Amino acid sequence: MSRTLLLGLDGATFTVLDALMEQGLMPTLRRLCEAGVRAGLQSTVTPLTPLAWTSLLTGRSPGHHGIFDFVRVEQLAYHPHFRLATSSDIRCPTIYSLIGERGLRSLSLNFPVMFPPQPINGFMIPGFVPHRHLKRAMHPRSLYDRLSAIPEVSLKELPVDFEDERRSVQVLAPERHEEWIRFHIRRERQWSNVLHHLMTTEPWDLASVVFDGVDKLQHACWRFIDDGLFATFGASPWARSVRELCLDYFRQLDELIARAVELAGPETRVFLASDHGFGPSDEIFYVNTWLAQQGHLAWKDDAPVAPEGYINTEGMKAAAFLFDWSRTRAYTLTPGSNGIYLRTGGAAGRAQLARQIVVRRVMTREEAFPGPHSHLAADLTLVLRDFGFVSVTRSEAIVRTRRDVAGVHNPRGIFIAAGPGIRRGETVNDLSILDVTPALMHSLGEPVPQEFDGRLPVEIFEPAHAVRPAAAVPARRIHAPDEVPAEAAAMAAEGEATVMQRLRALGYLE
Amino acid sequence: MDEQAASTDNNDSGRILDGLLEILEDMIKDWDTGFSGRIGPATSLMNNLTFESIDIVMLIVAIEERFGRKGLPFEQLLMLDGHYVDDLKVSQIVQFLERELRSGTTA
Repeated sequence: MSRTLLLGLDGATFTVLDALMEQGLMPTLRRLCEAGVRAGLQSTVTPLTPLAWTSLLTGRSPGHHGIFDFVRVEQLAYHPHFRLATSSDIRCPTIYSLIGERGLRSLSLNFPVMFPPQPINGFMIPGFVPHRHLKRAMHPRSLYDRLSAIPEVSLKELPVDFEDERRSVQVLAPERHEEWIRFHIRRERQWSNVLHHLMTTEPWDLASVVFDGVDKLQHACWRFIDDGLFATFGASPWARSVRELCLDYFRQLDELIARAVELAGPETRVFLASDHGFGPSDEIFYVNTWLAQQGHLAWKDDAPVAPEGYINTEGMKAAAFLFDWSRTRAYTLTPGSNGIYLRTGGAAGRAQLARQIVVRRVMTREEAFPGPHSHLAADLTLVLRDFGFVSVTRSEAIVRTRRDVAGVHNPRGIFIAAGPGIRRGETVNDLSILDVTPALMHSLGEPVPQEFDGRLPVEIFEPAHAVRPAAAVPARRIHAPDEVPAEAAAMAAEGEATVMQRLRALGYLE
Repeated sequence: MDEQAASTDNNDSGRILDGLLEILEDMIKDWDTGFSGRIGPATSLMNNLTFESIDIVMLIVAIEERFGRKGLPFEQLLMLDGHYVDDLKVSQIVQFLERELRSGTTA
């Protein structure tokens, strides 16, 4: 058994990090790669933060853990609405619960979908919790007052504002770039300060934190970060200053990684992982506009055409109110899930054109998210040719070119491991994000539950450390089989034939 | 409505109000709202307690946890023509919960 440190870099990709390591801007990361093992890390089918991190923390695919988006869509009789996906929607135990039951202590900082916090054996501060709700979000609650008393910790700077987040993914005004980057530099430092405090004052076996500024910067600033792209437009002093700030973010992030690794000590195994990768996008696919053109969706007369570059509507839940539900049979509510919901079997429509233009793949929910909870996912999941998000807004065209290249999620993230018993200086074949949990369990000396969907990546360990410990044990079920909702049972009974019929009606199958 | 039913309703209403007040008091106790009164049925979440849209989202999570029910159609209470309502009183939430918890319909 070895103490284990998990550093999550939300959205990190070797496309960016390799260049930064070569330029000497991330020496710690480079050292870790040289002293350990690296691999590409294949994300969940939809490479989206809430489901991917939940997969990494549970070892289960979305069809099993039940998280498919930041929100949970409720299919009501009249029209659907959605609410925030929370920890109580996760249908399997997290690694914190699994090892906690065996007496091991965890520190969990800034992971999404962990609110409300579960009473783990250790300390937890979930991600995506606004400051005003942070106290209620901490486990134990007394942690808030304790952290408030530490001069180095500014609790107001830990959270990210939802509206800011939403805007940054869409269009970040030029005058806001500098403020946005500096904000995330400060935030990462604050999470690092909290991690430092807990690591030095509490016993722990698994310490884990997500630094999510990587994702936030790459969304808004991809064209400044990508070397090749920047060379094509980066002549202005403003562009150069934004790029310098981005590089400074990564420089400082590397310092924070070094701080955590040093604090953990040489006997600790260190794992770095991202929930997904990143890449460029120069186009937007307006899926609801396409559905409208095909006759599956009707806009309300006063539904506005979105401003250029927008993939989401402003204001909570607004998308659901732009549709004329009496004439809508298929729709998309959120950009990140890339999911189309069908209200009925649907009238005939032809998806062929859009599929040829921008859609790399269309997957039924049974294909994309096999498992007992696949009925909670959208009926269809689109994989766009740039792996980007669809836009749910109204547009005058189905596909529009972005004015500026943006950063969008990509399924290939990063994996780095180093420390006792880890091979040195090797690059191995891509792993699945589902393989990280078994690796963490193994690192902690714990058996890998049989129900995990990934495998133990023995190739990252020295042979003497790669032996599977004892016998695998079944993971504790949170929901017994007989607790599957009636709707799920009904949907399962509906059978493949009906699904295929729906697809055929929509033109996905001949 | 017979006496027993009325009594049950009153108890439900009281229980729901108590539960909601507990959530709200816990939620805002460290907020700088400037509200010095006691939270009650007539208290406005937006005007008195400075709620913003994200606070409403967090309140829904807390209510669902507290009352052990998911998928309540809060949009019927909170949304008007695609936007959050400008004002919401504690009594409106209590009435909504009374109705929805009694009907037992969730998504």
